[in-house]
Amino acid sequence: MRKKIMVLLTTLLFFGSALSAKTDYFDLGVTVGSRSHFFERGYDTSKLSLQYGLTMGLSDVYELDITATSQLVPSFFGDTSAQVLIQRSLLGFRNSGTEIAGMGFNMLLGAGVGFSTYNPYAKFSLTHLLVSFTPAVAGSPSLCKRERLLTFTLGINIYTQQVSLYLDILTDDFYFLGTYKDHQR
Amino acid sequence: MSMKKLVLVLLLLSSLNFLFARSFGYFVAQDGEKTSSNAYGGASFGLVLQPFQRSFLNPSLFVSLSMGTDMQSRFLLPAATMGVTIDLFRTMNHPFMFIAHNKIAYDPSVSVGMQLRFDDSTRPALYFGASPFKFSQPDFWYEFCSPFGTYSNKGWSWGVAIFRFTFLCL
Repeated sequence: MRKKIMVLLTTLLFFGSALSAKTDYFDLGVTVGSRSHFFERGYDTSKLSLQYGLTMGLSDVYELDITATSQLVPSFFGDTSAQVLIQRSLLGFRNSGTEIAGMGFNMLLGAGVGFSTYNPYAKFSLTHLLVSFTPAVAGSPSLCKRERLLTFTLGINIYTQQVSLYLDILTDDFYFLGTYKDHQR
Repeated sequence: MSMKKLVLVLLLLSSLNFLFARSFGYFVAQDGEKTSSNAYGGASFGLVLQPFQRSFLNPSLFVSLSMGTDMQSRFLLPAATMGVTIDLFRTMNHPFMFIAHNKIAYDPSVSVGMQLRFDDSTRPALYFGASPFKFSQPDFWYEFCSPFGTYSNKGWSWGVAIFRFTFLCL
């Protein structure tokens, strides 16, 4: 129950901050993708996981990504963790802030934290420091859709000092605010 | 050439249309499976043949090989599968246009087939699958969150393909 409340509060906080943002570069989208977690078998036994969440543009180059990761196999939604990342685009602006599409290809570098039960107390809490790199991003918020390919995220468990790897083969972002439609005159 | 002959030629050419449409391709999927005694996560690779372009109950044939790691992190080939997929219908009137930049058709499908399983003991199995979120362009199919199940003498297993991308190349 506490985990659900925490996720709900995080979501509400996120929506609140998103709605108060007034910059031309602000955008908001839904994230869905695959995720595999390696090298932390003592805690995470998942063989296939789904990630889902929200992505928000903070500026022309920075974005905030809040995602939940749920195990699908072997236990369907049997284990859920959360990740919060600030990411920066490496090949120019991520959103033009106008009706012009702008960059259609980019790369992302980010850092953040992870919340999970992967600690000796099995309590849902802050457990990971994260560094993330996405070598290929196709599309942009302006175009309403973006695909992130082969995202590598290194996680350091602050309880066990175990280094693990999150590999996201494919992540799709579907934007519903801050697209070219919102900038059409 | 008279109008009748012209119409006849056009009708003849259109009836041969399937010969020109791309009908053979390959796919890759990221999937996982839970069996009665183990679990696997990895990928599947396969070939498809879609001989017709029907709007309703359009069949296609597939063969695939799945591979991945089990709960003990051992690399395995859990199964080889061959079967038939039936696209129940194909429509352009659907609420999922945001999935792709181009216009895409929505064509959910069901599959049945036979498996040769290599996990535990080598044995045959029945295969059942569904793709409630399948979308297609003329030479590209997208499938998301497709559940499947198998039945063998070891009992039932179930799994899900998070995504499957099929490219028709010939």
